[in-house]
Amino acid sequence: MAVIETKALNKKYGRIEAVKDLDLSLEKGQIVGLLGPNGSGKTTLIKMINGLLTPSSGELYIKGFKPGVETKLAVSYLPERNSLPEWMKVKELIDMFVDFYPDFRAEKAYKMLADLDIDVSRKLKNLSKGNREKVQLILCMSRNADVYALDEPIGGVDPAARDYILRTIIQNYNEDAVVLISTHLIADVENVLDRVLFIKNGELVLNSTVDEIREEKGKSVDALFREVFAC
Amino acid sequence: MLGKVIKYDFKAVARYLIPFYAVLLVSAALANISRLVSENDMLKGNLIFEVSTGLITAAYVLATLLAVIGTIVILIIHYYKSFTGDAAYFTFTLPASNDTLLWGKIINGAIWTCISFVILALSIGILMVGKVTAAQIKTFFDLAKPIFAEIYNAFGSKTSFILFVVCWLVIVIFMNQMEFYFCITAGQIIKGHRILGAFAAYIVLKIAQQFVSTILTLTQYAKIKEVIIETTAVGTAFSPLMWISMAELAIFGVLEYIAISLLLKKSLNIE
Repeated sequence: MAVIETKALNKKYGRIEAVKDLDLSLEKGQIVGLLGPNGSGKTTLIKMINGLLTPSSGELYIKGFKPGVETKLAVSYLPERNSLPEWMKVKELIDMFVDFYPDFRAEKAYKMLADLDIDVSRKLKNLSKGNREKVQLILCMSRNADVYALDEPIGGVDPAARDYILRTIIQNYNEDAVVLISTHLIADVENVLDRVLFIKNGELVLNSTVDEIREEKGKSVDALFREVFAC
Repeated sequence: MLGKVIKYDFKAVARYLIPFYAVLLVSAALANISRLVSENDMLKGNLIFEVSTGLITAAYVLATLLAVIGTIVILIIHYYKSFTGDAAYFTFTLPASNDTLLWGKIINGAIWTCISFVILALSIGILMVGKVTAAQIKTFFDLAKPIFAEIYNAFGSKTSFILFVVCWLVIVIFMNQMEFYFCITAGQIIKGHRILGAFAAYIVLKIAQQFVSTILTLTQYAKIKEVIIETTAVGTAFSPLMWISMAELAIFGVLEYIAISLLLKKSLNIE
């Protein structure tokens, strides 16, 4: 059974069609790159998967369920901005995740935070911007989820931090899960992806494995992306 | 899950409201101490002391306003931030239904409203220590007895009055915040002008409430007129109106809850 499935999924903002007639089926055990330029509909799709946006029409299922309590238990979400309560200490945030998510692995989170020398007794607001983002990523990846929906996880960070983020994702995700990474920084993520989805003006223009692209088209994902989205 | 939602909502609000309440209790204690000291003949006519006493009393009044108005303002801000700001990304990805999240806010608001009542009563108690004797309290209640008898009569019986007060308290505690929550949620429909939308929703809601209230009062007009002309028991005439007003408050609260729930279900758009 597909972990994420959409049928003729649409999302409109007034007259603007952010996602158009999207038919998609993603099986478990793969890292999927949701690739497209800014404003192509990547974030809209991720938000619909997380139940943050109501589809205008069409169907969306996560593990066979429409977005709701069951799907929120299944999806671990990394938004593009900090959404965690900044007044809380990192330790309190971990306790909160333990309270809310049965699949949260606190020991894993503590280990990753210790590796980064992040003091768990400090409030989130007192950490540097980079460390706040890392805490958010660590909390997201410490869940044993069925879907990891990561919205621009490497956007706006330095190359060293990008490496750390990608390493954290690869080393910590549940291998039976779908990892959906939304980004326009293709070269940085290409090597970790199993499958890519190209989204252009809300439409899915390509759904292919990375191996197929390399073997059949003889190109890297980055090169194909530049070709498809050439201005 | 509801318990967990309430727990974290309670904590989020506590960091603002506990200092408010602490200021209120401390200012009540200071106001009482300054009053007790002012009874010393040595200090009578001392301008500096009298100004200080006045300032402390003013601080108590301000602290009371801060605690009462602050409670509702903080609850509204907490709702606004949790349901519409960046925090909404976290709120709406918690494994809880939208109704659970909403009830979390409502129950948390009710708890803090109760706490604010208790703190306010406590501050008045602190203010009265050493000033009011048990005999004076007894005298007060003796004097108030005929007034209460009149009120009981107006409501039909003592039980009926107590029932009214209990119902009214429950409704106010739970529904007081609801209209603000409704306006904030309804305002989200107007993209780009959400705060303006919330104000517009508030105005529309108030007009609707006023309209319904006027209609309900008119339905009782004949009865009120008849009672006032034929008897002097004005309270008897107005008690049905009070029950009607309370029912109206409750019905509007329920309608607001249903509207919020539907808006969250049908058009939740965290952008």
